[in-house]
Amino acid sequence: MSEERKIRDPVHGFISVNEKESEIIDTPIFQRLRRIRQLAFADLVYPGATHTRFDHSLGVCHIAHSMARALGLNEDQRRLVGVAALLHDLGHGPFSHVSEAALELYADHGKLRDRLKVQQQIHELITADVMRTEPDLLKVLGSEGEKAAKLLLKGYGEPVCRQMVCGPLDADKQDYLLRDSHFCGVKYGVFDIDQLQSELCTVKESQRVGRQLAISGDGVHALEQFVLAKYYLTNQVYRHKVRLITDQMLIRAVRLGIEVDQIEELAGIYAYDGSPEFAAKYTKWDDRLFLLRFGGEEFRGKYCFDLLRRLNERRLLKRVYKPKPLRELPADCRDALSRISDPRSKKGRDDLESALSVKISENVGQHVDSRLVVVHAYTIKSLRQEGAGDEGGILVDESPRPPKTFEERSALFRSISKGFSEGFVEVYAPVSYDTPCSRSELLKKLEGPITDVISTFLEAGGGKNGDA
Amino acid sequence: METRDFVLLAYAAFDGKMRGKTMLQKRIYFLGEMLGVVDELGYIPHYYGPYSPSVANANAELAALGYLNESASSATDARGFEIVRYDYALNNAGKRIAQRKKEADPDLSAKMQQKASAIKRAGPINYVELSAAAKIYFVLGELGRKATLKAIREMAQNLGWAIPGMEMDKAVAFLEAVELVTRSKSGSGGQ
Repeated sequence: MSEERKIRDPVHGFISVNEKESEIIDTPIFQRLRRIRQLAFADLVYPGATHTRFDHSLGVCHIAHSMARALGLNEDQRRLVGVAALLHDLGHGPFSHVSEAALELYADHGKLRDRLKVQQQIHELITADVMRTEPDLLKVLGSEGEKAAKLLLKGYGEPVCRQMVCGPLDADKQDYLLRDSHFCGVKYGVFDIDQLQSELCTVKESQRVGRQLAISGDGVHALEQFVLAKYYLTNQVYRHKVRLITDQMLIRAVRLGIEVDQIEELAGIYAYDGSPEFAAKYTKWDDRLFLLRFGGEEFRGKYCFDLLRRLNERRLLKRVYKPKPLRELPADCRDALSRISDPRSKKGRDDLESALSVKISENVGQHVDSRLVVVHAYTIKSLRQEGAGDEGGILVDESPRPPKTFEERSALFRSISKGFSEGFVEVYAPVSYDTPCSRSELLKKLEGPITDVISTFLEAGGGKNGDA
Repeated sequence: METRDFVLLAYAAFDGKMRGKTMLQKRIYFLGEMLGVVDELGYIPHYYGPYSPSVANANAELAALGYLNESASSATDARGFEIVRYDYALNNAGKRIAQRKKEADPDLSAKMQQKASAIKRAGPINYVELSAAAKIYFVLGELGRKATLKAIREMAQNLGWAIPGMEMDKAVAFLEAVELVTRSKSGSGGQ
């Protein structure tokens, strides 16, 4: 029997880790997660949101273990799922998902083509690379490293094992909803985790096939609460306007730092080519080091420096165009606009932002640098879409009948007749307001002109790029 | 080609309509296979057969952009259980965008139309049988495109799929009709 180590956690109380997990936690590569914040600059709007990928990873490991016990996984499966859960975020770069956007933009997609057919997010590939090559980790993991990497990438063993760490009901979501709610000081993400876990079960199509993660019929209400929690937290916290602006400022800082300031060191961070050498270099970076280096005096006068300094001092870009439903724009321009936030749609976006900067400058009576004008389009999933899950729907055990999907089984979600998600566009710019009154006046004043620029520009085919 | 454009062209190739999410997933899976781009669509083995989160997201995006109309209806499946089916249809805005995509890539559009016609000719096939066909073809891919029915069944079981005999027969007949498999004398299926 291996020795357990207990760690205090503000969300789950005591978290117990086994000897191997404890050794993993003590490796420098895992300790690095202490320096990557879970929600990047969300503390600029929720001051308590300074928690990190480190505590989240411990929480995911803890939840994965309780799920594994509840589901009756064998000892080998439990050990593997615990390791995979602990390491699932190892490949995150500075500011977590912001780095993902930069990787999308600057990674060598030609070299990654085959691997990206299976994996949708580049940080997941980097996680696997690190698990397979990082010397300290390899010493601890042994052959289990490869199995855990496979489990996270495509699955290993019974389907239920992967679904516990990657799927609509996974330990990752269960932890981040509770943890992000706790640290943001909101109640939106709270759900009855004990009830949810006690109703988890597995289903199989026949006696001879692998088990799939599901929930019992009695757990449907707990699951409804979980899905609602995800919906509210997404819309109230993750999509908070200040959070959207700070994320976009970081992405813009990286982009301008590489393309305009021509900082080679910065370009090197995101030029992922799938090599083990890259993973080793990439994981040297964390939030703190990134801010110190590229927000440091050496780069004063550069765009990257300016944007990072603005973030440090909370001098944020302002939203000058309230979220506009894409459906309210002409049909022909919705398609182009919805792609304009894709990091690969550079040329069309630059042209549109340039046209917008002229219009905004005219209306605010101050020069607005087009490189600091940000058009951001995004989609908010409808509640029913959230209920359908990202991976084809959560299964509800109806034995001896075949399982149903949660969407079919939940009376609450079935009663929502529309499943439509909604797309929105916003515009941010470096303007200053004198009073709150002038802010709302400015938004009102700019709404028509910005809508006109967006509509005419995109209808004229301005959103098409050669580089997309 | 981006998944969303592929899905939009698929709608156009199937007369602008998809009856149910399973039908949508499996039809696009077969179009992807027949056009040699299935890997880019990101299909993974799910409980109901090959499933692509990217295709599901693309469908949701098309709806969010106001290009699709959605309707829900209750029905009874082959085993007598009530199921809710979501049907989708391109509206005028969607048809207009689809037409623009067709003009932008006439070659792919024509090929897709041809393959969709082959799928339609091979029917009628319900979503359960189409799912079985998708499972079989997915498994064949894992087995190197040539295998006995027994081996397919065993591999399917490893992925968590059971394919009953009757569904297997109809599914294989469908795959032969769309020329994705041929049956050799020994009874094995393969391409």
